Parts: sequence; C-alpha cells; structure tokens
Amino acid sequence: MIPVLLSVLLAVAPASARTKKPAAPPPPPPVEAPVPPPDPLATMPTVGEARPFVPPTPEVGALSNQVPVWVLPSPKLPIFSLVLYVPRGSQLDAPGKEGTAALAMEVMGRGAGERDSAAFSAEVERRGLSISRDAGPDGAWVALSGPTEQLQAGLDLLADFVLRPQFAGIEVKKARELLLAGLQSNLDEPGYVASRTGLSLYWGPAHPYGRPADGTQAGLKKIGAVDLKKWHKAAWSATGATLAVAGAVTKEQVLPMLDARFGAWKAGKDVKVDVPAAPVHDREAIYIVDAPGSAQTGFYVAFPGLAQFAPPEVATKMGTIALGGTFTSRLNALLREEKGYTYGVRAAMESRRHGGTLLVRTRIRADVTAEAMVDLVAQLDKITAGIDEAELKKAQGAARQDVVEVLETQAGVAGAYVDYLALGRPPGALAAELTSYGAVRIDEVTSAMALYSRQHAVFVLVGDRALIEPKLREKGFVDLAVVTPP
Amino acid sequence: MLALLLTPALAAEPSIPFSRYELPNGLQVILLEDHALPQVVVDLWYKVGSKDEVAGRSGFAHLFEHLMFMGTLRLPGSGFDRVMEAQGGWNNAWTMQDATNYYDVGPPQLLETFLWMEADRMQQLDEAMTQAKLDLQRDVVRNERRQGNEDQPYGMVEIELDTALFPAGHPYAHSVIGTHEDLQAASVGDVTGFFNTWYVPNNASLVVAGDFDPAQAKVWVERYFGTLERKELPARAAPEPVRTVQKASVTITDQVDFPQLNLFWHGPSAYQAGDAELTLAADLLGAGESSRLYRRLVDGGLAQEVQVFQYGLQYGGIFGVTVLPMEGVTVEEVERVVQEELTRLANEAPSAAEMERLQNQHAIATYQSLEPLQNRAESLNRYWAYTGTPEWLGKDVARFTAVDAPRLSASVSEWLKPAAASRIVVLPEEKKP
Repeated sequence: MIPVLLSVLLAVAPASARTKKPAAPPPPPPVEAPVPPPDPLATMPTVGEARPFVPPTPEVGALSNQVPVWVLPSPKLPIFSLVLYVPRGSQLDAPGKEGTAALAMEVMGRGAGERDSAAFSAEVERRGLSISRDAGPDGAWVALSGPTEQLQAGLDLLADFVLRPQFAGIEVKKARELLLAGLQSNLDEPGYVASRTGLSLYWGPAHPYGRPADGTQAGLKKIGAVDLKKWHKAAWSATGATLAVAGAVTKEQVLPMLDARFGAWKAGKDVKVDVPAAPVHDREAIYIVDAPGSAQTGFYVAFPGLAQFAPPEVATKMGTIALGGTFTSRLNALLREEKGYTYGVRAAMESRRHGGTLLVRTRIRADVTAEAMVDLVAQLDKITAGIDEAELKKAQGAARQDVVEVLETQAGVAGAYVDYLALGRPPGALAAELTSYGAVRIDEVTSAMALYSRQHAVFVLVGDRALIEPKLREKGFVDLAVVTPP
Repeated sequence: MLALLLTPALAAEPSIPFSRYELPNGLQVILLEDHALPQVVVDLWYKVGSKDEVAGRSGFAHLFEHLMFMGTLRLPGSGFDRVMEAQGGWNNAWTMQDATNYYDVGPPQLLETFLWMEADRMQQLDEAMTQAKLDLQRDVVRNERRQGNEDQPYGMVEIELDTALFPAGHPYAHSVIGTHEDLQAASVGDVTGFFNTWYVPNNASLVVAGDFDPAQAKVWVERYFGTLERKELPARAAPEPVRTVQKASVTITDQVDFPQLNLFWHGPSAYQAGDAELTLAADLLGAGESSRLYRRLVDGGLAQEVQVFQYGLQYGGIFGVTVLPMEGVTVEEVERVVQEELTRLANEAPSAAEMERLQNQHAIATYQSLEPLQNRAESLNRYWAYTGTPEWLGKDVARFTAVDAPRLSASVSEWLKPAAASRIVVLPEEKKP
C-alpha cells in the first residue's frame, strides 16, 4: 500500500511542473486529482477510561436457626440458582477411609425422603430442576437450579437431600463401584495424575489437603453405609451453614420458603479438624511419574501460597496473573507464542481455608521437556523481582473483568456469595474486592512475589521417563525422583 | 404435558432483542444492547470451516484461525492480544466443520478498539504473513492435537469418526484438527490464498453485544468495516446426502484401563427436519440420572458412564452413543442394551412423563444458555449462518415444543437403524511390564 500522504503528493506533482514553460499561454486551472479519503484504519483508536462500576449488594437475611442467607434478585429470566454450603468436607474422612465425603455426597442424591433413587432423580428432572453436589477438603455444597415456578418443589427435594438421605445399602454399593471405576479411569488422564500426585507431594499424604478428596481404591472399598451416615451427621448440620440464592426471586419470597424447610435444622457439634501448615520444602524437588509413550509431559508446579483472603492476597493475585493468568502473560507468551512448546500454560492461586498454593500447569511436547523446564524456571525466578506497571494494569483489568463475568450467571453469583458468607465476609465484599484491585501498588506486588522462590516448590512431571529424564539431567536438573500416583 | 407443569412465565418464548442491517459490502451487522453489566462482546462468524479445506490440507481452517492472532502491518506481533488485555479484555476463537468464530470480550471502553482490530485483520492479515508465524502456530496446533487427542484417553475416536462416516472427498471426511502430515505441508501461499478467498465481509456476520450506544456503534462499524471490499465467493456445491456409513466397524487401541464402545449414525442436518427430534431422543436416552440408558447401564451396574448426542451440521449430522463399561463388562454386553433401547424407542412412543421431562429440561437449558452475553451473541450468529436469519430463537423453541412422542419415535426409527451404525471400539493396550 502507498501511504496516504505520499499518494497525494504524487497525484499533484505533474500539474505543478507544467506551469514552468514561459511562452505558453496561461494554462487552464489544474484539474485536481481526486484525493483519496483518509484510510479509516490507518490509526488505531485510543481507548477511553473505564467507567466506575459497583457490583450489586445482596439482600441479607437469616433463618430461624441463624443460618445466614444472601439473595440477589435478578428478574430478567424466570430461573433461579441456590447454593447451600457446610464448612465440613473430606477433612472429616477417617484415616484409611479416604473418599467418605465424596461417596456420601454421591449417595445423598440416590434416594431421599420418601423417594428411592429412581423416583428422586425422576422428580428432579421432571420439573426441569437440577441438583449438583460435591465435597472438598474444607466443605461440602449442594446447588439447586431451575425454573422459579418450581422453587417450592425444588426446596422440598433439597430438604430431603440434605436432611433425609436414605443411604440405602444397594445405593452405597452402586455408588462405590462407580467411584472406584471413575478413579481408575481418571488415572489414565495425565492432568489428573499430575494434580493428584502434586497435592500429595506438596501437602503430604496424610494432610487434609494432600489426601485425595475423591478417595483411594483402598479407602473407598472400606466405606459402608454406617460410615456415610456418621459423616453426614457430623458434616450436614446448621452449624456454620450458609445459603445464597440468585435469580427471579426476592428475599421476601424465598426466606419464608427456606425457613419452612431449614429453619428448624439443628446445630451440630462444631467439629474442629486440625489442618496443619504445609510442610516446608527447602530444596527444589522434581518428581517424575512415568507415562511411557506420552507425546507430551504434564507439568504441575506448586509453590507455598495463601489461604483464602489472607494478605497479601490481592497483590499475589496480580503477580500470578502477570505470570500466567492471561494469554499474553509471561509464561504463555514464552512457552506457547515464542517457543511453540505447548498449547497453553497457566498460573493460578489455589487458596483454601487454611492454606494454599500458587500453581503452574501445562502440557509440554515430550521432546522439548528439558528445554521448557529451563525456560520455566527462568521465568519463575524472574517473577520474584516483581512486575512492571503495564503488567499490573493488565492484571487489574483481567481481575475486574472476572468479577463482571461471575455476575453474568445466577450460578456464578450464588457460588461466589456462599464463599464470602462461609468466610464471614460482609455483603459488600465483592465491591470491596473490586476496589482493592484498583488500589494495589506495584511495590506491594513486588514484595508479594519475592516470596515465590522455586527452592520451596514441588515440581511434578508426568511423561515418558526414558525420553525426558536424561535430557533433564543434561540441563542440570539432577535432583529427580520417580514416584507413582497415590 | 408441557402446559401442565410450566406457567406462562417459563412457557413464554425467550427472546434476544436485537437490530440488524447489512453493509453495502455484504457484512451482516447485528446489534444486541444490554446494559446490565459493564461489558461488550464482539462476535465475528465467518462461514468457512474444515469442510472448505482442499485435499492434503486437513486442519488448515483451524490452523488459519490461530494465524489470525499473529499480527498485521498496523498492529504487529502479539498486538491483538496485548492491546485488549491491557484494558481487561480477552478473546478466543474456535473452528468447526462449517464455520470459524472469533469473539472479543471486555469493558465498554474497548468496543471501538475491538471493531478496529477485527476490521484491520479482515482487511490485511495476508500482508504481514510470514513463514516464521506459520511455523510457530503449526507447532502450537500440533501440540493441541497431542493434548486433545493423542494423549487424551479415547481422544483418537474423534479423529477416526469422520472417515468412518463420510466417503472420501466429502467435506466432512476429515477431522477439524487435521493430520500432522497435512499441517506440515501448509505453506504461506496457502495462508494468503485462504484469507483472500474466505475472509471477506460478504462471508461474515458481526454481532456487537452489551453495554454500548447503538448509534455510536453503527458509526464505528461503518467507519472501520465499510471500506472493506466485497469479493466473489467460490461456488460451493452441496455434497450428495450421505446415509450410509463407510466403515461398519473400527477397532483402535489406547493407553487406557477400560474398553469403550462408540456407535455413530448419520443424523439430520442442523435446524432441519429430525434435528430437534433426535436431540430430544439423545436426552431421553442419555441425559440425566432418569434417562433410559443411564438407568439400564449405569444404575444397572454395567457402565461407568454413557453419553448420547445429536450434532447437526450444514450437510448432515452425527448421532452418537458412547459407553464406558464397568470392569469385567464387555462392549458387546453394553452394545446389546443400547440396541435394545433404540429398538424399543423406535417401536414404542415415549411416555407422557418422559416427554414432560424432556421438554422441561430443554426449556430450562435454553434459558440458562441465554445468561452469558457471549452465548447470546454467538447464538444470533449461529442462527444467521444456519437459517439465514438471526431472528430464529422463537422458532428454535417452537420446533422443540412441537416434538411429540410419536414424532420422536418415528425419527429414531428413520435414522437410527441398528445396522446403519458405525461401531468404533477402543481397547486397552497391553500393559508394559
């Protein structure tokens, strides 16, 4: 393409030259060549300032038994989403019976109240409702969603699920067989193997956060209906329970409905489980899980991180986003967009109630595993020196946009609110968090990231040992150990 | 039965209010205003996908999608991502058989920038294309294939499926991700040729959605896209309809612990007769814990999981059943149950209670899908691409509510004959000592 200015000059030059002949009669006025319109794409538009945004604040209430409830009315669509959370989960699994919470949550949906398993699921699905559930180390939750007109019926089913699960022997057996098979299948998946192994190595196999919440083959086989009932009694009491609802409902509508079903729900023993601090890893440790024939190597790198909302959470969040939280983050830009070693790499904070990790995960082409490791550790070292202003601004924008997208769906709102409630945050917590993103300073991020020395990290590589180990040793990574997944 | 359960509030048609117009160069423009949250989405749908690849270049449409982010003369390098991420925006794209879709998401102040960047690369991506860019993204895409297929348990079924169903030369007879050999063969000339052929305004539809002023958006759309040139598109003859599978049985091995059964049939095209019926049939068989195959296979202790789907495309569709048996259960045992249930469904209309479940679950899924702004933007483009108009949500809902039990059974009888399936079985590799 010819630049606009140059093309205009070329067009008018010949006419100007002809006026220099002295004997000729005065020429007619030159015919101006048409000036092409300016190229509208020549310059990228400037970006304006972000408009202020204050997230909505929930309506706050409580049941007769003091279980707190947050409600965010959103009448646009005739649907709702509700989450009920209790702060007790797989941390209550007895030693040797890992998977109790996971199995109990599965069986709770397999027959409750007067309905057996088939009748319960048929009633839920017939009404356009859905009930999903899960348990992690810190807690267990059940989510109900569907048409608002089915809210009453849905709450009846939810109350049966929470308060009156049957734990029929046949359902325990069926669910246990499914969880065992699922566990075996998952161990074929490199990403799952990396996470399961990494959690155990980082926290330790007996730590509540290191034991696999989905259980072990040995543990699941030992769990019977009695264990599940015992776990249910300990975990699913009103003590510490929290409720959040979003959708085409108001607090005035939903609170009496909830109170009628859960208001008399009794408090339980305030079970205290000792969750020790993570063990200190004082040297860079690299573990290989052998996966012969793998075309890629799965990476799971865990650094000591922060508990939920523990300072300097916001500064660490910004540093983590700069490291691997967006497409142009340092790790993705280098390992994918510059080197072509991977389809993608991400860093994220995994924060739990009593501790956390900063995780880096990726899948690297097997034959360049060692080269990628060199690049990865260089970037991990570099981030400890902090980030620049442009990276901070980018991270702030990404974090703000995340909040906006959480607010897009009712399930997102209910899930976020129940988390805030469980940690005792005030109703304005989301707005406060957004404000804190904008207020964080670059020196705070630098201080936060200075703590992430790879000397304290655990590296797990799932790949073809025969191919990757010699090259890793060549590159100087000699402190290697071969492990099997727990 | 639907009216018995649903009040008018939910039974009423959901809607996506929008306005639309067409630029003189053929670009479709759809404006969807929603001021609920401070964000905008720009969704650009190009009617080109893997069906348009030439022989020996499988995977090229998707590889090209990656190259769209590699910079232009005006905004070189990683500028596309860098500029929008600097303000909290992000983007992504995907490629399928019929189409390639690009979307940008972010705060409202990025809207003009999004539009400029999309118009910029639509106008002149080819002028900045280099061998180095192609080589780099080729590596990334080959990693994507390794991650999504080769190193993914049962991931090669997706690759085998296309040749099992469609005859050589059919637009769907190769995978979207392509082969390593074909990806390696792609040249810079292929890239510029593909761009100049398909990435033209009269082959695209632009949705602007979210928190914006429509009058201002129209000015920007006209300014940035208005000067792009319309080009004549190559004639694309529709292939002959295919109802016969190419391979009745395929067996592959994988590093897995359990075998897997996959049965695939030719199904109806997207939004055409039979598509809604088989979508509901798939739900009846495999969606939820009260579905027929879940009850018999999973609850019956024969399988870990079962998945059933109808995937409608422009030139046909694919109906699939995937079953992962429990340990000690053979694929033949679970296959017998699947065929029994299909035969039963073909011969006996579903009960009223089952139809009620299907309709209600479909209705709620439709509403939930309308929550994210980007979903709504993409839906409008999808309707435009497959039906010729974005104004189709009401008809989409209506075609599902019109499906009654006899129609559902008749469609199963018509499309899912036991002998018409292609059977792909994955067997565990021998464990190495």
